[in-house]
Amino acid sequence: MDKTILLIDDDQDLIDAFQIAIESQGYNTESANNGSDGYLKIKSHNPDLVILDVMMDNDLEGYNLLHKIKEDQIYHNLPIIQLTGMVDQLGVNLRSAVEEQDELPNVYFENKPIDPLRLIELIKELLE
Amino acid sequence: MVFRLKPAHVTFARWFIRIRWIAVGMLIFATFITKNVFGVSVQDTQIYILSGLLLMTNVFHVVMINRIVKSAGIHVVKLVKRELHVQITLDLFILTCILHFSGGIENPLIIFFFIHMVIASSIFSKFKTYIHTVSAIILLVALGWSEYKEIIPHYPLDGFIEHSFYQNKEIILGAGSFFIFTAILIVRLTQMVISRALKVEDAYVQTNIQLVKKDVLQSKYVLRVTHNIKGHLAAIMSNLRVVQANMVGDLNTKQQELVDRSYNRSELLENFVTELLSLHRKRLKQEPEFEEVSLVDITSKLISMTNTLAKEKGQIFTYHIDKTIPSFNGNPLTLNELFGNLLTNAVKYTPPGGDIRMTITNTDKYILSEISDTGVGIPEDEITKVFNEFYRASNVEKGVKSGSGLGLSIVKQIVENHNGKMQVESQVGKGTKFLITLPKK
Repeated sequence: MDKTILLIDDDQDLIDAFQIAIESQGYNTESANNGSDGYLKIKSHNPDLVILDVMMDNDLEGYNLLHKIKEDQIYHNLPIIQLTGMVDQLGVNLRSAVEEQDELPNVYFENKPIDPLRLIELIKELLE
Repeated sequence: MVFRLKPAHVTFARWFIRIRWIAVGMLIFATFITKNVFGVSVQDTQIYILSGLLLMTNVFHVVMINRIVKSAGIHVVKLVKRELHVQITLDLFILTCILHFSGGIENPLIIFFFIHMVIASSIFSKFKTYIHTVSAIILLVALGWSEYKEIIPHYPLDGFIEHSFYQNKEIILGAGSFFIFTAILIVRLTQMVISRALKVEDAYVQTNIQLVKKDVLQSKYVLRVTHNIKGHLAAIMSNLRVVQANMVGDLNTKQQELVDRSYNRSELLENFVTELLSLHRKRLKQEPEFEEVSLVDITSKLISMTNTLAKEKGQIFTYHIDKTIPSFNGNPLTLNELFGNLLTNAVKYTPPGGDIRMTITNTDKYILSEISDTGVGIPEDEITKVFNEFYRASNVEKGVKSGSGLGLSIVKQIVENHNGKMQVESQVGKGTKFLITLPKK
């Protein structure tokens, strides 16, 4: 069965580019432009991997969603690639902040902007 | 850079207290010498008692000032002023008593009254200064008058000065008028000079505050704008990358070349925007808090990186890191950026066959770092500009386009955020040396 990857980001142009890149490797993709829509898509499509932007509309929507997903027993081990521009925006290293505070399984942090080719590599690594 | 000025009043009060310790010491010493060496008759017991009293009031003043500075917050100036009123009043009173026991108006100690007038005029309003001046004059007139009328006894300085002065009406009137006239003159003059100085100082502080505010606003503005640019740039680059990697069909040679060029320029722009963000974030001190860091650890990774880079360019990289350097308080990410920037610069601007050297030494209070190369160097007239934003040396080939011109501004900001100092020495064609002094505390 083909694997499904869910992209959650408020920048549709970015999602389009990622979708082309990911689909070229034979994966299915789904997308959502905000956190709540993203959560519904997780429930309805049961993706194998989620790519999540931490900052949507300049708040912690993505970060909150990450916690909501990981609190759910069914999705506790769902791999998530968290894209973050936080280092630039807040000057904090979210990766270390999260790693120190709560050990969430299967969460991979990548700085924005991420090269689609690098994203594909990462996806392959995680799903195979 | 803002120069935080302590309220002048606190400085004045502390200085005044210090002077009083010295004055009391001198008074005791002078009394002792006058009596025992020169054999002048002095009421030394009374003077020693009064000196002791003066010492006790000074201890009281020290305690008061410390307490005010520690806990008064925004009321510091008001309370220090009040304390200074107490200081001056007590002083004038005790000084008058000392005068009385040491020859009255015949004693040159009378001049000490003027010091209090200078202090009062420097700090208090005109009205309050005149109250102190008038009190001083009244105290002196009362002393002279009472001794003249023999209401209180006169204690002459036998063997020091002709001591019938206190009974000589002309001298008393003459000296008295001279004293009053001088006192008023001193007060007027001091007020004039001090009020001007305070105005200048105030304007200076205000200007500095305005400048800092402007810098902060500018940095915030830059952060907002560059962050916006970065968002769009991320979308542009991702889309270009998909085309470049032939994911939407093969490109012909010309198309490939154009897309490659666009992608490369986007990368340069992204790098520039990232550095601009990094610089202004540091200016706004939006950095993680300091932690214990080890320069030995930080530089060890950079050393292997520099080794590889230098080898590729056929340069010789040598280093000496003092292993006794202790951990100190700093930001590991930015310190890594600091040394990384300087080392990559050295490799970039040094021709093949050149030398690059890094030395880090440990001293009592500081960690001294030196990064030198035998590269192109910086023209002498540009050396003061190297830390300016967007500076590019005029003797660097136009081909080296990858720099943003922000690297050294970032480096300098990192050093400043660590309360350190930075120096640069350079000679065109010979090389460049950066010296960094970081305090351990």
